[in-house]
Amino acid sequence: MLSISGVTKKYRKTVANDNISFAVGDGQIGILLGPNGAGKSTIIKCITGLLRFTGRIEINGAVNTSSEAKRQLGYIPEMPAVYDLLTVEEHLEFIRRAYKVEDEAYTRRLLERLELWDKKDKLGKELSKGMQQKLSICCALCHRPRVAIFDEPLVGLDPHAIKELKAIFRELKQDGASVLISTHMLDSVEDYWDVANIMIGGRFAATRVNDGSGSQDLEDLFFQITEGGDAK
Amino acid sequence: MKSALGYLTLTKLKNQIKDLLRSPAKLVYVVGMAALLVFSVLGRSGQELEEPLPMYMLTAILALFYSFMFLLVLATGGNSAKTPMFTLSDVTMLFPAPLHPHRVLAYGLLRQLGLSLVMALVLVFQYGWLQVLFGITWQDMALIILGFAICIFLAAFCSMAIYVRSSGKENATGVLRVCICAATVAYLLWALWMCREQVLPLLSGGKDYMPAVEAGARLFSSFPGLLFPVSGWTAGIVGGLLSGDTALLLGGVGLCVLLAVALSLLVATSKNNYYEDVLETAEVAQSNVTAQKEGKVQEIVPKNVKVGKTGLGKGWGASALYYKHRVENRRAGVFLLSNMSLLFLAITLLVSFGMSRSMDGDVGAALAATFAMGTYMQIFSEALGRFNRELIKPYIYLMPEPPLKKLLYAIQETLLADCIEAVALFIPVGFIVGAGPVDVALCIAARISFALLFTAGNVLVERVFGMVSSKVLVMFFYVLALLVLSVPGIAAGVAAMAVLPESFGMAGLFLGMVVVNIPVSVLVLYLCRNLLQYAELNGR
Repeated sequence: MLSISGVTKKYRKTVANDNISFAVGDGQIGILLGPNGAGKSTIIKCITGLLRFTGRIEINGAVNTSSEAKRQLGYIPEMPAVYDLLTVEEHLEFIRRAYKVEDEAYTRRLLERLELWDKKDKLGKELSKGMQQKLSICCALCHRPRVAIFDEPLVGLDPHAIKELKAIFRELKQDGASVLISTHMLDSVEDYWDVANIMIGGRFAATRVNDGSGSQDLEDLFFQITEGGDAK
Repeated sequence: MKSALGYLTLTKLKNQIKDLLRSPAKLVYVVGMAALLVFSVLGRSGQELEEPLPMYMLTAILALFYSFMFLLVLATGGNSAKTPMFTLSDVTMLFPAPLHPHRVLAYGLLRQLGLSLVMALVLVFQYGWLQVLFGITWQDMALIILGFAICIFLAAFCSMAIYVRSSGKENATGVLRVCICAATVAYLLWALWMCREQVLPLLSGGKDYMPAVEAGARLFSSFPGLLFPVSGWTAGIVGGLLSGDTALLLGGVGLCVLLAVALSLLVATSKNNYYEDVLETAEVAQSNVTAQKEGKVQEIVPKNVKVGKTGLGKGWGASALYYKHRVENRRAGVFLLSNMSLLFLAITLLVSFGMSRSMDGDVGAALAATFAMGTYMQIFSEALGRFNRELIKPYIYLMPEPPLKKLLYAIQETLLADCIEAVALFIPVGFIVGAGPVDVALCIAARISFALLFTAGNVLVERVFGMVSSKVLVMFFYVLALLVLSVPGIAAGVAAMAVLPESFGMAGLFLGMVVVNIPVSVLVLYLCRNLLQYAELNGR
C-alpha cells in the first residue's frame, strides 16, 4: 500500500507539488498522467525519498525514508542510472548485497526476460540507452519490491521489452504489490490501470477509478482535462 | 539578409552578453575576476627590478610554455571535450545544412580562436611577476596573450588537418603521434647537446645553475632554437616584437602564415570530411555540459576498460558500497592511488627536495614546509574520491540501511587510499629532508588526520550546499569550509610547539594537529550523518 498525504514540494518560489494526496492499494496499478512540467517526476522522487517535502508518505505503513520502507520499494528512474565501471551482473549483485537478498535465480530470470543475460559481462558504459533502461528495471525489481514506482519506464525500450514489462506490471499486480506508473504513453496502460491521476501545475486535476466497464478512455479523459476539449 | 553562419555567430555573442547581465552569479564572477586582475597588477607596481632580466629570457620562457601547450592541444586532438571546435548543436544543425564544409570549418576555427583568446586571458594573472622581473608593459602582456592564442589556434588547426588526412587509416594517427613524440624528444636531446658544456658540470656535482640556464635561454630565444613548429614560431613573433628583433619577427610570421596556408590546403583538398571526427568529441562535450548544469561530477572513464575478474565477492548491506568502489577503482586503472594522487605525490617529493636544499639544514622547517605544500594539494585531491560520484546515483539513497552506516562505507575507500598515500609520501620525504622516524611517523599521522578532516569537510559541503547547482560555487564553499575546519588543528599545533621544549622540534606541531583534527572530523561526520536521507537530486 502506497499512501501520500498532503505532500508539498517547493523549489524556492516554484511549487512543484501542491498538497498532493492519493493512495495506491495492494494489488493496484496507479497511473500518473499530465503534460510536461506537471510535477509527476517530482512527486515520484518525493515518494522514493530522493527529495525533501512537507507532508507524509508511507509505504506499507512505514515512513518512506525509513529502512523498512526502502526495503519494500523499487524505483525505476526516468533517466537510467547505471555505473559505468560495473558489469550488468555486478549491478545486480551489488543490489542483492545492498538489500541483503539471496535469491540469485530471480535475478537471472529477470535478465533473461529482458534479454540482458547474454550481456551480463558488459560494462554499464558499453550499454545502449535502451539496455541501460532495462538494467535499471532489473535493479529495481530484483529485490521483489512490494511497492514499485516507474517513471516513464517504456521510453527507449524495444517492442519485446515493452511486452515483457507490461507482463511484469500484471504479475506485480497479481502478487499484491502496489504499482505507480508515470507515463505519456496512454495506450500502453489502457488495459490494466486501476486508478488514474491527472496532474496539471503541481496539482491533481482529476482522479478516475477504473470500474472495469471499459467506458473510460484514458486518452479522451486526458485531453478533456488538459485541453478542455470534448470527449469522444 | 546576413549569412546563416554570420547570424549564428553574432546572435550567440549577443545572447551570451545578455545572459551575463541577467545572471547575477555570473556577473559577480566576472567582476570578481576583473577585480583580481586589477589587484594582481596594482599589488606589484613599483616593485620592478632596478635592472630587469634580459628579454631573451622571457622569449625562451614563452617558447617552452607555448611548446607545452601546443603539445597538450595536439595530444587531446585539438578538439578536447572542454573546448570543442564544434558543439553538438553545431553538429546537428550545421553539418546537415546546405552549407559548404569549408565555410563550416572556417566558422569552427574562428570559434576556436575566440575560445583560445578567452583561455589566454588567464595569462593576465602572470602580469605581476613578469612586470617585476622583465619590466614589461600592458602592451607587452597583450602581445604575449595574442601569441598564446595564435599558438593554440594553430595547434587545433594542425590537429584537425591530421584527423582529416588520417581519417579511415587505422594506424596513421598512432604513427603520427609517435612521430610527434619522437620529434619532441629529439628536439630536447638536441637542446641538451647544444648546452652540454654548461649542463655537464651540474651532473658531476656542480652547483652553479646560471650558466646552464643562460645557455638554454639563449638557445630557445633565437633561430634555430625557435624552429620547433608553431610554439617556437609564435614565441619568435612575440620575442621579436618585445626585443625589436625584426628577423625573429618576420621569420615567425612567415612560418606561421605558411603553415596556415598549408593546413588550409590540406583540409580543403581532402576527400574525407571532418564531420565524423568531431561528432564524438561534440557528444562528449555535450554530456559534460549537461552534467555541469546539473552540478554532477563526471567520471573520467578509460576508453578501453579491462573487465578482468567479475563480481563484488564481498559486502552485505551498506558494506557492498565499499566493495563496489574497489571493483570500480580496479576498472578505472587505479592501483592503490589515483593518477592525480600520484601526480601530487611526485610534485610534493620534488618540493621536499627543493626545501631540503633551501632551508640550510633545518630539517624540521623543510619537513613542515613540505607538509604544508602537500596538505594544500590534498584539498584538491580529496574531492576526487568515489564518494562524490556515488552521490549522483539514486542507489545510495534507496539502500535500506542507516544513513550513517552508508556514509561511513561510502568514504571508506577514500580514507584507506589516504592512509596509503600518507605512508607512500612521507617515508621518502623523511629520507630526502633527513627527518627522524618519530617526526616522520607524526607527519604521517597528521597527514591522515587532515585526510579525515577534508573528507568530513567534503561531506559537510554536500550536506549544506548539496543543492547549489553551480560547480564553481560548490568548489568555493568546499575550499572555504576546509580552511575554516583546518584552523583549530593548526592553532593547536602551533600552541603545542610553543609549549613543548625546543628539543621536540616539529613533533609538537604535528601532534597538536592530530589531537584536534580527529575529534573535529568525527564531530562533523556525526552532525552530517543524515546526508544520505535525501538526495535532492533535482537541485544537484
